[in-house]
Formats: sequence, structure tokens, C-alpha cells
Amino acid sequence: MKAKSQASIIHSSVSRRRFVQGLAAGGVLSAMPNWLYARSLQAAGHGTAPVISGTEIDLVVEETLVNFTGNVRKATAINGSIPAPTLRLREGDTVTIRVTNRLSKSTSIHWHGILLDYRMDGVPGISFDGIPPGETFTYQFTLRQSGTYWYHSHSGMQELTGMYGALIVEPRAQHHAMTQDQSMAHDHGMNHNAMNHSSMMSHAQHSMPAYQRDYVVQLSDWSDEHPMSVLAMLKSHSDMYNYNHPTVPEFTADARQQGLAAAWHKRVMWNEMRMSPTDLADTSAAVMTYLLNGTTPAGNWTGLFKRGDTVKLRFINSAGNTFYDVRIPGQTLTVVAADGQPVKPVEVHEFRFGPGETYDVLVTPNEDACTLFAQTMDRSGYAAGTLATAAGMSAALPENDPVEWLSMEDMMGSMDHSAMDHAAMDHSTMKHDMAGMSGMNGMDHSAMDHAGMNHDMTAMSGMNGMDHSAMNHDMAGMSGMNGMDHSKMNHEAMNHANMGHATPPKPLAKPSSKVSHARSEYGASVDMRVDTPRTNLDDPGVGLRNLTGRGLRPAGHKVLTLADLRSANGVLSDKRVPAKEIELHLTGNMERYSWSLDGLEFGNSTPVAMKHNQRIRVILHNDTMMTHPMHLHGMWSDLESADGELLVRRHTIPVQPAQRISFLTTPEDLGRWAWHCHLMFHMDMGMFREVVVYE
Amino acid sequence: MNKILLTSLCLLTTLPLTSVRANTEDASGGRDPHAHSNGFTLTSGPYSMPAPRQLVLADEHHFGSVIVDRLEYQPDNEFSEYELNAWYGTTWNRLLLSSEGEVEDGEFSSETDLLWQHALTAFWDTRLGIRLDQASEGENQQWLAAGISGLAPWWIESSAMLYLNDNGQLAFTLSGEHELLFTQRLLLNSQLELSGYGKDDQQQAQAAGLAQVRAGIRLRYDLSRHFGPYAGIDWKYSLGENADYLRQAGEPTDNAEFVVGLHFWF
Repeated sequence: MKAKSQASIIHSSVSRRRFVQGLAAGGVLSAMPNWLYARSLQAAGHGTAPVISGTEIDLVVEETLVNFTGNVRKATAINGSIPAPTLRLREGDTVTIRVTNRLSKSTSIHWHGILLDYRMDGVPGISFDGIPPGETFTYQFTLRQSGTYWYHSHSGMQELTGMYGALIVEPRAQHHAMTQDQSMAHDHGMNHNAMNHSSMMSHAQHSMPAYQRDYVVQLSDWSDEHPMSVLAMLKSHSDMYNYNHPTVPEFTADARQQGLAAAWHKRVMWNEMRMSPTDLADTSAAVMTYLLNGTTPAGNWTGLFKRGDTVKLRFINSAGNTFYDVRIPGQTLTVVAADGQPVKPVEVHEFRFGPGETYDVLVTPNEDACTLFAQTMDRSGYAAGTLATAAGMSAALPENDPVEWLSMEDMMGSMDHSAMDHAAMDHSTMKHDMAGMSGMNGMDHSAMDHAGMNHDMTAMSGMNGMDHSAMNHDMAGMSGMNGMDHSKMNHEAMNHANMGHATPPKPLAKPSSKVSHARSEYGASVDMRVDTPRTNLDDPGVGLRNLTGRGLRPAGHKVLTLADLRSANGVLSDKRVPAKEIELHLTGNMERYSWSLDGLEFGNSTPVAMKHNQRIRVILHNDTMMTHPMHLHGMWSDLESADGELLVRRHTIPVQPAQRISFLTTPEDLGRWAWHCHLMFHMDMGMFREVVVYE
Repeated sequence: MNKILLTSLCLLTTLPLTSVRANTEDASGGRDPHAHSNGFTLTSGPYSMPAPRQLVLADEHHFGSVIVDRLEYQPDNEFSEYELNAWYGTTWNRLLLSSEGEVEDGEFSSETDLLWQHALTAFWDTRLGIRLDQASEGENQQWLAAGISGLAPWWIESSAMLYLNDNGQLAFTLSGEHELLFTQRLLLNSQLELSGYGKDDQQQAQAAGLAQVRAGIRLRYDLSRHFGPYAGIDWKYSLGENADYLRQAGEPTDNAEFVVGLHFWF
């Protein structure tokens, strides 16, 4: 492998295709001394992380050379491997993990999604001092959970340079069956004879469906440029890597199809706001190569199965800055866990997930080879691999979908007034307050679905104090509202007699819907504020809406949304009504490439204090046009609906543009914790808070 | 005219000073972003690590960039011109070097602004500093400089600057720049700049009022996001007595020139 990769160095000019596809044999170049693999079950081949299990583990962090694109670059490996070794641990065990730093700078490892003592959480400057060069830090913690998690550096940009690995905690009850065949997760064309797992994991004692194969599918992104220099580029030109900017030919094509006025109106608002409708990701295939299990698309990572097998795929998004839309064309995916925690099985054909999120998926392939396809949210590239009955097989590789513009919902939030809580609706604050919008003269009503704007007031018996007089839609040019369908507005049925003022007995039973911007959001750090957020969870997000209608997927194609996820019975144990509500706004300024919470970057912030074991509601309100995967360390994020119904336990919650979403948490572990957007460039620019859990 | 300009200059000069904390503390009556801190800070309160704070993210880092907007040549006149902007600093406060210059018949002249640029609102910055004019003929001049710059709706990079020299002369420039994309790499860059003076100064060949309108269109092909050659037309039109001064010196007052050049940054 070494010789092959060196041969590829000769090609000094990298063709575009190779950059996107990567090298077939790309990956770690330098061979590590054998002693490093003492705890590993096998040496690292490309795309196959070694598996380490047990309760005493040694990890060594060291610089290594890699070649994913034809260029040899420095990367950060653990035990010589990228991805880092897969750790298979056991629920209830106390593990001791010694991490030795052989880099020239400080390092750290954070155990993503694991509940533990805060001093073991691995965030330098919050939980501990970091691991200085040449030193060894001993992590020790008891595993109080099971499922699919991962680990990564929390120092600088080391995660983006290769420091990430899978962390699987096996449930104590079924551990015996698992340990009999630990090779299964890293079998890649090496160990075929050991692959007969038909007897393993009949989860009779659990409600989980049985499966015969178990693979980690860890998605990541690699940049030949140092991540810090990528950030410096974004700081100077935030649209640097966007190759989907609106163009003149697109405009003329729209004008031909939809008419000049419609084509014009489609663009007016974006231009007035100085926002890009294609600002879907800050980085793209122009700078990133997308990896699946550390393997480029050309390398075609392959997971083997026998016809009739059910395969468990543990999808982990370990990318620094990339949302993936994952599907296996022709196959149904049964999602059985989210962020490591079991969910009631839900059948889908595709799901989107951001950095930090994990999904366990079962699939029973009905073909001998099928493609694992993970296109990036901005549609500039993809990671891919194959599930096959024999090595060397492959199936058709789909095309990337066309780029879809962000919609009015992404910019303005809720356009559907029927979903609004009219009881609490304060229309006086209902103005679409965007920093640069002088008068919204050119608001694009052509895209506004008036049919769905159902002012059905039959159920509005609780309308108290609704003051429309101050309703400031601030839409100077709303002449196009003629088509608004008021016919369904049944005034007769509006029972004014019932307009009482009954206060709900539990004021925090539901998340508050009154938008409250922080005063620090009214400065240069914030380019947009959403006053009428959307609270629905059933939106798959830009690029995944109406795929069948757009002719991109077959009929019946189902994309997972947050609304589809329900924790399995017993997972959501804390049913208390929250005692406290914390509202936090996700903010930014794309032009300045500044990211913050409540308009304050980390350096200007103060910690969020949470009382030990108190049930606390957190409202995340997205005042930006990007989706942010918000990861809270040290405690669960129990997602709830806008009505306050507990849905699903997560550790990373993706918040869509103009969305207002809430979760409940019970901080069971004292100490200081990190809380941040898991897009590394957003995190590093300050979209980061410290949490103090105090007694 | 002069009084209005002087007042404006004073106002602009005070803007950055009063807005230093605009990005963190605005009295707009919103929610207190520190309401849930319980009085704790990043370096105090339970479980805090001892000061100084170890965790410093990129929001407190300094970044920088050098952007050569135009490095161009007029083949007909054997005339070279450049415009560059270099900055260093944080998101909110930057040191900005903004320079334009030309070489004609081996003679070099330039206008260089050295400015403190401060983020005022989401899209606008204030600028305060000095300008040094190095003239090929006449004497060099030093100016105090103040103004605003930013991104206007429709993606127009704009700036409005006022300058005051020790003769009490005021100068102003207003400029706008826009890029229209035909493809992801081929674009039409349009620039418009108006400049003028507050009062007559015969010695420096300056007359009160609008002195020059300058417009340019350049068709550029970005070979990469860092590097793009272009060709275009640069048009300069002088007005009023300022045009007379140029005529006396034998300079053209209304000329459109074909230019070729490079745009690059790092």
C-alpha cells in the first residue's frame, strides 16, 4: 500500500475528478510500529479501523502522513489509524483509557455522548488542562449507557485532521454474544470466513430486531488545506467555497419558464437582504474530500453480507463541517437508534444528519450489491461505499441532486398561521425584523403557499387579548396577497363567549412561543432575526423537500424527520414538568463569518448555569439560515414537540433555519460542560457556551 | 458646502467612538444574554479553572488578508495602476491598509489610507485614520480620514469617505462595486467612484465640488477563487474647474481606456 501511494505522489496536478472521488487506495501512509497495535485485533487496512475492547486501553496520538487526493499531507492519527480504532466497551464496566500525546502540541479526547465525570469529558480549558506533548492522560469512567457513540479531539482543529473514532458500548445483557465475534465490525475483505454471525444477536430479550452483520459507517470530511487556513479563507471571503451562486443564465432560464416578474421577485428579497439562497454549507467539494470509514468514494469501502442477512449500520457523522443525506437506493432503512439511544423502529429511505449525530439503521439488502450513498447537503460531493455479498462488487452510483434554493420558511420561519398558538400570540411583535431589510418591497409571494395559509379559527375559543391593531407585517409590497383564502375562516364558529382568561395550571408544561431576542442580538454580530419561527419538526430540510414531486426519488420515498423519532419505552424516564426555561438564540453574520449564541461569541459570553438534577427546558431558536447541530456535553437533550410532548433522547440536536425547537434536560453530573454547534468552524468562531451544573 | 462637509466629518469621526460596544451591549430592550449565568463567569464560580482562561477560540483570534483588487495595465497609454486592500485584526476591529496608485512614464503616485475599521452594524463598518498622497507632481499631502464602508443591498460593496488636510481642505470619495455572475467563474465587475473637494485650492489644482466620476467594467475569469485575469474599460470624467486644471496641464478630462489586469488575494 505504501508503494502504491507513493507512486501516486508523482501526479502533481490533481485532476478535478480525483479530488472529488479521491484515491482508491488513499489513507494513512506511514506504518506504525507493531507495539502500538498490541491492543488492536488487527492492523489497519484502508477504511477499516482496528477494534479495541476491554477495560484497559492505550491510545497514542501521533502525526502521520496521508494521501486521500494525490497530495501527501500531515494528519493526526490515533494508534496510526484514521479513523481511530473502534472502541467496543461494555455497559457497566469501568474503563481506563491512557492517552499518550506524541504531537508537538496539546491534545485531548472527548467521549461524544457519554455521561461521565466532567473531569473526564476531555475539553481543554473546561474539563481539564489538555494533554501536553509527550505526556499521558488517564481517562477513567464507568459506562452508564449503551449504544453507538464516538470520540474525537476537542483541541483546535485536530478532529478535522483525522482524530475521530467510533465508540460502541454494548448493552450488558447481550455482551456475551457480541464478544464471540468482535471481528465483525471491521471485517473488510480480510476475514470472510469469520463472518458467519447467524447465531449472534438474536435480541429476544430486547425488543430490537435481530441482525447478522454489524458495521460502523463513519462519515467524515478531509481537507488538503489545513483547517485553520480554511477558516482564515472563510473569514476573508465567506462564500469562498460556494460554487452554486445564482447566475445570470439561471435568471434568464427562470424568466423564460416563469415569466420575468416571477424570476425577478424570486431574487429581490435575497438581494435586498444580502443573503445567498445557496448558502447551504460553508465548505464544499472545492476544499473537502468526503470519506466513509476513512475511505474516498473511489476506494469504495465495502461491507460484506450474505443474502438474507439483516445488516446493522452504525452511522456516525464525524465530519468537521458537513451535513450528509444518506440513502441506499432501492433499500428500506429501519432506524432503531438515534445518538446511541434506542428509538421505536421507523422505516425510511433516506435521512439527513449533521456532525455529532449518529443513527443505527437496519437494512436487509434485496440485491447482491447496493450503494451506501451520502451526498453532502450543498450537493457538491458525496461519500460512498458498498454493501455486497462479495468483495469487489459495486452497484450504480446515483448522481448528486440539483441544488435547491433555501425557501421562505428557511428565511422567515412560519408562514403557516394555523400552526400558531393564538392564545399566546402577541401580534405587536410580529414583524419580520431583518437587519438589512429596508421595506421588503420585493417580497417573493410567488413562492408563498397561500393554500396552506389556513386561518381556520374554529378552534380559537381561547383567544384572549388578541390585538391585531398593532400587527406589523412590515411588508410594503404585499399586493400579491389577493389570493389569500379567507373563505375557510369560520367567524360564526368563533366562540367569543369562551374567550376566557384561564391560566394554564403548569406554566412550563409547554415551551413558550413568545420570541425573545437577547439585547446583544441587535449589533454587528447578527445579520438576521426571526420573529415568527417555525416549530414543526416534520420538515426534512432544504434539498429533501418534495423529492418525489421533483422527480428525484420514486413514489413513497420517505425521508426521516425529527417528528418521526420516538424513544423506545423506558428511555425517557424523567417525566417532570420543567422548573426552568432557558431560551438561547443561534446567531451569526455570514458576511463577517461570525457565529455566536444570543449574538455573543464564546469570548464575550458567560456560562449557562443549571441546577443539579433540576428538570430544565432549553429553547433553541435559530436566527440564521443554516442548520446547526447543537451538541450539549454531559447530559441528554430530550427533544419535545411544540406542545411539550417528549419525543426522543438525543445528545446533538439539529436546528433548521428559522426553526424554534426545545428539549428538556436533567443535569445529573456536576461540573463544567461544553455546549456548541458541532460544525467546527461555527464552534471555533464562537458558537459555543460553557454550562455550569451547580449544587 | 465646506461647513456641511466639516460637520459630517466630525459626526463620522465620533461614530466609531460611540459604537465601540454596539455589538455587545445595545439598549434595544431585549432579553439579558447573561440572565442564566447565576453570576458565574468563564473564570469564576463553581468548578471553574483558574484564570487566565485557557479556552480561547477563533472569535478572539486575529486574521488577515491581502487583496489585490486591481493590478492593471492600459496598453494604449503604457500606464499601470493598482488597488489593494490589506487587513489584520478581529471580526470587530481591524487595521486596514487601502491603497491605489499608478505609474506613468516612470512616475509613481499613490493614495494610501491607513485606517481603523470597526464593525458598526451587521453590514456596515466605520473607518478612521489617515491618508497619505504621494504625488508625481506637486507636493505630497496628508489627510485625516473618516467614513463608512459596507455591503449595501444588492451586494454593492460601498464606501463613503471624508478627508481633511492641514490647509482645511476637505475631500470626499463615494464608491460602489458590484459583481454579476455569468457562471461560477466568469463575472462582470462594475465600479463607480465619485470624488471631489470642499473648497478651491489653486496650488493643489483642486476646485470645490464634484471633481471626477470614474466608472469601470471588467470581465473577469476566476481561474481559482484566488486568482482571476480580466479585461475591461476604465472611464474617467472630470468636471468643472477641476477639468480646467487638467486641461491646463495637458491631461485628458474625458477618457475611456481599455485595461487588462489581474485580481488576486491571499
